[in-house]
Amino acid sequence: MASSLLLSILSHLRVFFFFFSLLFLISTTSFHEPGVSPSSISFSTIHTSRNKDEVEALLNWKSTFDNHSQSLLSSWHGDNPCRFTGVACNNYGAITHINLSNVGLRGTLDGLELSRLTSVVSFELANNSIYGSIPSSVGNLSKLNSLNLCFNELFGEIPPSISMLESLHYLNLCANNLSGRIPASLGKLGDLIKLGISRNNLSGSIPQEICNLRNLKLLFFLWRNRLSGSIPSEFGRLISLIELDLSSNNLTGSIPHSIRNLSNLSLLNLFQNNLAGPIPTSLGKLGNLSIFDISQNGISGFIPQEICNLRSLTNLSLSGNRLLGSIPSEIGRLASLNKLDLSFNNLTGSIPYSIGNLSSLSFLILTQNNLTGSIPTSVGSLANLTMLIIRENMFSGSLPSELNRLTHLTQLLMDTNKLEGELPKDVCLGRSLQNFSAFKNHFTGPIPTSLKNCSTLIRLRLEENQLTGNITEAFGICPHLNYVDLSHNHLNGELSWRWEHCPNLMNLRISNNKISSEIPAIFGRIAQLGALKLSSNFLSGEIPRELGSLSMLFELDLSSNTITGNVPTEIGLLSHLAHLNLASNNLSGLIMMQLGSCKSLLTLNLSRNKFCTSIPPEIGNAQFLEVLDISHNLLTGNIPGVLGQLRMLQILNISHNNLFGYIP
Amino acid sequence: MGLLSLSCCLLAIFLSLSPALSTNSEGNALHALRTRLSDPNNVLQSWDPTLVNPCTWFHITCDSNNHVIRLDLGNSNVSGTLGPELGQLKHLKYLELYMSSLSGEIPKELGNLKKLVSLDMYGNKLEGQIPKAFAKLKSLRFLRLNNNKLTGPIPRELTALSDLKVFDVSNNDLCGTIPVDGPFASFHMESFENNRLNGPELQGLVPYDFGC
Repeated sequence: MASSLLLSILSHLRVFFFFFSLLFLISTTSFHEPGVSPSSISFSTIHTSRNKDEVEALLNWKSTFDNHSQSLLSSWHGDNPCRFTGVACNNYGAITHINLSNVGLRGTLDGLELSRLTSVVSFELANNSIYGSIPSSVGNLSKLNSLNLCFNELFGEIPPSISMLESLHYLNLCANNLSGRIPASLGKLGDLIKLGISRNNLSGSIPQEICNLRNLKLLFFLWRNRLSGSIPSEFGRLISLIELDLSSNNLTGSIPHSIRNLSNLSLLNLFQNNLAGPIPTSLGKLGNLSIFDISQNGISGFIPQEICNLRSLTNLSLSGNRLLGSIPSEIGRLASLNKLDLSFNNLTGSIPYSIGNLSSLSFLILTQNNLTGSIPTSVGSLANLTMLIIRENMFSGSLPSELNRLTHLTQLLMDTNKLEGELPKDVCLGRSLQNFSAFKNHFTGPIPTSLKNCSTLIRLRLEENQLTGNITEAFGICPHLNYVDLSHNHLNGELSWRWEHCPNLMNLRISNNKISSEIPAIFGRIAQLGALKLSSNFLSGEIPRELGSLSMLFELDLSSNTITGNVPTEIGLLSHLAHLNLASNNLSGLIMMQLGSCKSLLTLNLSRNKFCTSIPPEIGNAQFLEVLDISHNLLTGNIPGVLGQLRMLQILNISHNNLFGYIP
Repeated sequence: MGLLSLSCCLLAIFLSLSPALSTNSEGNALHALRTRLSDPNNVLQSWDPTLVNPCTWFHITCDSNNHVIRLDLGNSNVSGTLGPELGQLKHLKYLELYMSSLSGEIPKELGNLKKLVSLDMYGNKLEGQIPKAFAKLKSLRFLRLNNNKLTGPIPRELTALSDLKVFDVSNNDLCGTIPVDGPFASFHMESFENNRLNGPELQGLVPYDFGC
């Protein structure tokens, strides 16, 4: 009874005291405008004195900038800060929002007296050139709800005083040069919804106090720093978390099992770290998980079957780890899957039939594993597939004809396997195919007919197979074709004039086949050609002089054919020619002195022909020559002394001729 | 701020879906070299970093395991500086960078190329010193650094390169004395001319880096 009376007296005293001090305050401040009524005077004088602090703080800060930045803040003058660009006030005239993002300011935060801006709720300074460190006085912004300093040049450490900002919901410090550790005291920011400190130079381990941020929801981006140590096992406490990205750091240890508690998690990016241990089976509980990327770590063990429960998963990237065992047979249950990348692991077994159920799949990447068996027919059901990359495995058997249904493919890379049978003839029927590699297999049959009008094709590598058929009409429309290698097959037919219509062709290799024709003069018009290899075929006729127009040519190999006649002098025009191999033909006449004009020549092989007369001394002008083989010809005369000046020469073969004299 | 989080989210999705730079470290090292260089003759046009390895790039030669064994950019008119990335081409045997306009210093990381047989950087504008780390190039047979602006001494450590057959540092600004041990016993004086060298090392009498 007495205590409650005391309390009421005290509370009355408190009210009385408040009014008294207010009166006192009013009476001690000066009037700014005469003739104003007392009530409005009391309001405006408080308003004015606080505002004066805030105006001064901003104007003082402005004065620390360089002239250009100050000109961007030209409205910052006078005594009403609520009119300054980027500044907003509340009903009491106090500054609550400062938004100077994307203005282009260059300066520091040191000249900003944050202790005078205690009403500020949001401070946005993103995408400027603010340098220097974050002042610890930032802790004074007690009402701060949102802080965004992303995309600046701030360095130094994150001041622990940030942990005093109890109202902070959004903390964005990304893309700066901040260093040092993540302060453990950040764990006190109980209201924090978003934490973004990616792309800095932060080091040390992730403090487990961070796991106290129960409200952390939107983002937890620490990617691209130099964080080390393990992912704290307490991570499971961040139960509101939707996106977590710790990629591109030096994190070690395993993925904590407590991750299974993050039931709202949609994005989990851990790629490019040194994580080890297995994929926790409990990951299968994360029903909302959409993106799961642990590429380029040292994760080991099997791919857990439980992963197949993740119905929302769109992106599963496990590339570049030490995973073993097979691809789970229930993989087809990942109904939303768009990208499946299991490349660069030690997976064995075959591709499960259920893969055909992945109707949203666009990217299937299995490069460099030990996968075996044949490609299941169900792969043909993947109507949305744009990239099918299964290279460097041990797949065998024939390709199912159902692959002809994949008309949206842009990349089909099956090279370095043990596949046989024919290539899918409709592979470019949808006119999307850009990159087609099937080299180093046992494919037979013809070049797919749909390649003839494949206007999107850029790279074609079918070398080292047993393809047969006639290549004369195999190619027609090739506006983007850049690289073609059909070497080491059993192709016959003629070299087509159509190659002239490929304006971007830089590499044409059809060596080790059964092509029998002359070299068309029109080849001289394939203007971009850098490398032309037609060796080991049945080419006949003469070398067309038009080849001298191929100004970009640096490799020409026509060896092991039945080419006759002289070497045209125009070959001497090829100033970039580095490798010339005309060996094992029926060439005759003289070795033209024009070869000396090929200033870039590194290897010259004219052996096993019928060249006669003498070695032209002009050869000595090809000063970078490393290999010179003119053996097995009918050369006569002296060995020119100038050969001794070829300082880079490593191999010289002049055997089996009729030369005499001294060796220089 | 909502826009930033949305764009971050979209960026993450984009990056995970588009075909990224290859994870081939040799290709990435060469791509890093390309970004340093100015290439007026477009000799590096075929250097596509999205390909699985650099073995189909022009001026690159690989072995049967798709490791880069040869880089031929001699006489290519490229300019710019070399960086540490070339040291990552662990199987490199021939590094031909002569007669271009390369400037800056020779990266010491080239000393990591244990299989290197030929190192030709003559006829450029290279400066700084010959790295001592070259003593690690145990397979080296040809070392031609002539016609540059190199300074400092010839590292004495190079006498350990027992396979070295051809050595040319003429037309530079080197100082100190010429080593006489190991392979240096057979090199002609022309390999050293037009420098500020003090003649052959007189063992026991003059410290080898006298005047340097």
